[in-house]
Order: sequence, then C-alpha cells, then structure tokens
Amino acid sequence: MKGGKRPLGFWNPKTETMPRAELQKLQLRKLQAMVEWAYHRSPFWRRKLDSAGVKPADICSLDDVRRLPLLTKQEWIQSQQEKPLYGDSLAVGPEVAMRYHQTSGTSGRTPLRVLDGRKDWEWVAEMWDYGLHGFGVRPGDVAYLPFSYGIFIGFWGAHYALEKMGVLVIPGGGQTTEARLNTIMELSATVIVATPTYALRLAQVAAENGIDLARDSKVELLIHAGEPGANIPSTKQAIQEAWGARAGDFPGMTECGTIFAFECNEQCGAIHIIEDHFMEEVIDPKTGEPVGYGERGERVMTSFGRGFIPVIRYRTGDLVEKIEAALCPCGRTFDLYKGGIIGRIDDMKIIRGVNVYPSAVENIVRGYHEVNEFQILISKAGHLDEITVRVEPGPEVPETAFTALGVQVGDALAAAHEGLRFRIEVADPGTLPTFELKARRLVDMRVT
Amino acid sequence: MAEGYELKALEVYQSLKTLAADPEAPPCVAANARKALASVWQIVNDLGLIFEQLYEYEV
Repeated sequence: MKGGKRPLGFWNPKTETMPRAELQKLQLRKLQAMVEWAYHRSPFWRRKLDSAGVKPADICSLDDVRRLPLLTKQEWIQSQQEKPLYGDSLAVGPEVAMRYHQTSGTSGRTPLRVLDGRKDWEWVAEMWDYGLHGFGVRPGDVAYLPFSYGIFIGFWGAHYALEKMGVLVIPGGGQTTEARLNTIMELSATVIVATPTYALRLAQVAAENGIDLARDSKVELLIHAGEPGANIPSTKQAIQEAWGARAGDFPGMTECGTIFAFECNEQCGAIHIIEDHFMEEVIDPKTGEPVGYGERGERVMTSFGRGFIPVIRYRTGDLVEKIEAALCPCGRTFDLYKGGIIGRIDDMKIIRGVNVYPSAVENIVRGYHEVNEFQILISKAGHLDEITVRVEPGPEVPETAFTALGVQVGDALAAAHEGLRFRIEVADPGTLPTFELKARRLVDMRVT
Repeated sequence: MAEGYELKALEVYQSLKTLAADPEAPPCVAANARKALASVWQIVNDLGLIFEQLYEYEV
C-alpha cells in the first residue's frame, strides 16, 4: 500500500498506556463526577435515579455502575416529545449551547436533538484526535472530507480534529462525485474521511473515468465511520485494494457526539475503546447481566465527556465482543471490540429458521470483486420467508459472466447459512441505489 | 506527582478561568478566552487532572 505503515503513536500516552488498575480508578472518579452532575442538574436523571433508589454517593466502585438504571433511546425521545425540543434531560439551559445537531428523523420519526457547549464540542473533536493520531494521521497530511456538512453530526468532529492536528483540511461538501475525484487528485489528498459505502462509490466512478486510485492518487489512509464496512473483512479489503491505502474503522454515535473507539495502525482486527473518556459494558440483551471477555452482547455506553446531556448506561443496540487490550501489539491498555461493531442486536433476521446477519451477507458478497453494489430483500412467498440478494456487476463484467457470478454468490451464501437457499438476481449496471452516507441495503418487506 | 507540563497546564487553566470570568473584559478578550479555556479543558481532562463542568463560564 502507498506510504507503508505509519509510525506508532499515542495522542495521550499517559492514559493510553496506563496500567489497567489505574485506568479503572480514573474511570471511577469520572463516573462519580458525572453521576453527581447528572443527579443534581438534570430533572430527567434525578427522576430516573430516584426511581431506581440510587444516589450518587452509592457509586463507590465500578461494579456499582450496575445499580444505575439503563437508558434507552425510546425514553430519551419520549422525553423530547413530551417537552419539546430537548426534553428535561438537559443539565444546562440551552442558552449556553453553541452547537446543535440531530439524527435524520426519517419516515416521520422524531429526530434525536443534541446540544453541545463549547468544551463539549472541543471534546467531540478531541476523541477523533485519539483515533486519527492512533491510525497514523500526522501534520503534513492533506485530508479530504466528501461530506455534506449538514445538520447530521456526521464527520463534523473529524473536520475540527484534523484542523487541531495541523492537517490541511479540504471540505468536500456540495460537489458531485466526479468533482470530488478531481479535487482529491488535484490537491494530492493523502487522507479521505468518508463512509465505507462512499469510498467504494468514489472508487467505482474513478474506474469508470479511467482513474486508477491505487496507482495514481496520493491517498494513504481512509478514515471510515457512519456504518459498518471497514470492520467487515471483505469490504475492508475491497476498499484497500481499490485505493492502495489502509482503511480504518472509527465507530461513533450522535448520542455521544463522536467516536468511542478506533482502529489503531496495527490493524489487528479489533478497535480500541477510548476508556479514559468512556465506560463500556457488554450485557446479555435479554437479562441485562454482564458478559465476559470473548462473549457477544449488547454495548452499554457511559460517556464522561458531554455534560450538556449526560449519557449514562445507554443501551446502544450494538452487538459487540470485548477482548483484552493485550491482544493488540500496539501497547495500548484500552480494551478492544473484536471485529468492531459486529451488527445490531435487532439486525439479525430469521429466514426459515436460519439466523442471517446483513454484515455476514456483505462479507460474502464483497468477496466477489465483480460486484459493485448489492441489496438484500426479504419477502414472503405464501407462508415461507424468502431472501433475495440483488447483485449489480461492475461495467467491466461481460453479460456472459452474469449467470456464473449469480451461481457462485448463491452457493457461497448457502454454504455459510446452513444450506439456506438465497435467490440471486443480477441487476443491470447502474440500477441499484447508491449512497453518499450510510447505506440502507436491506429491505424487509415482511414488516407491515 | 504531576509532570512539569501538567503543572503548567493547570496554571494556564486557572488563569484562563479568571480571564474568561472577568466582567470588565471586552468581547474580543472574553470570547477568545472562553475558546482557549475550552481547549485547555481538554488538556486537564485528558490528563485526568480536572474534569469539572464549565458552563457557568459559558464554556
């Protein structure tokens, strides 16, 4: 890959290599401070903790976190619906805020609205700095962000984090894909910040226009967030081969405003949790009980950063598997999520008794370089569930190869899913939806 | 025991808090002091030295 492996580096060497016992003491002090703050300043949290019969003084050890009630997105949204615009979860009056963002709120759903004060907004960028520096971004890099810069928080934090690092930042809003490619080449961008889907889209359009990004661009690092992809081995490989560059996974949420974990430049197949700023538990989604290292469960997040809207024991719905920090050779003492965010706990579809995860389908489909884009359709044929995967070949694939491609993909999917038959449709080039931000490739037509 | 740069960061942090809260400071001083304070808060928070909230300083 272009540029080779970047040098190892820690944005915050003190905490990133802190012995675990000391790190946990720091987490406890921050947890106590945040619970104290939330209890005394946020009516929502006062009510929630009083209902659970717990006071800030009851938090004496990290295990005591389980005395705190879990927070769900439904509760948060309900609070905002009952007391528009922000509910009563705010710990500070909105007049002190300097930044507003919201989730997309599509299909008539109430968006989640968030506010940040000045130090919260700087903190949002600071978390991105942990990740960007850890992946190898350095002053002297040229970063291009093909992002719409709108009301959705997206990559705003990455933009300010890169500026803080001394990177030349090129905002890529309001441009067509072709114009963006021209800018990347003309200004010799070395870093691209985009969703995995859009990085692949840029590569496809480049190829259609005779541009070999792997050979001719100066891009060495790709920073990905917004959706799974950089954590799915086949998708990561497809991106890295198309660009001749390393692709890193940086998952984040609007609920905390920023990334909570990052892939370091060792690329060990896992992401480091930023454990001096977040406390992350993994629970059995059915019982709420903690699960251990190496077991899959639901990610529960407590943020020590944003004080405007305290986020304590937030059930994210993310499916993860936590493993010990020492399994990455970088030397960080921050624990890891193996495979990144594996999926959503409600992502799994059951088709004729077989568990199907969209990320597993993607991993297989992206293993075929002939496939440009794909879509998963779930429907009913009488009483039986049907799963159809539509694959769109690239323009370079001859029509005579379509049938064989469909058979190969279908066989691979069946082999990985206990023999479940997937209907495969080969779509004409250019017919499947394309995405600039998060892809929505699964359509479950059984849902009424 | 705090490292040398940690002590300097704490001094700068406390100085900026004083400057940001000065009722006589004109807008060019107050606004930029608040912005600087928000940045230095990241230093003292990252280093685990201070992690207070600063909203009463409009930060």
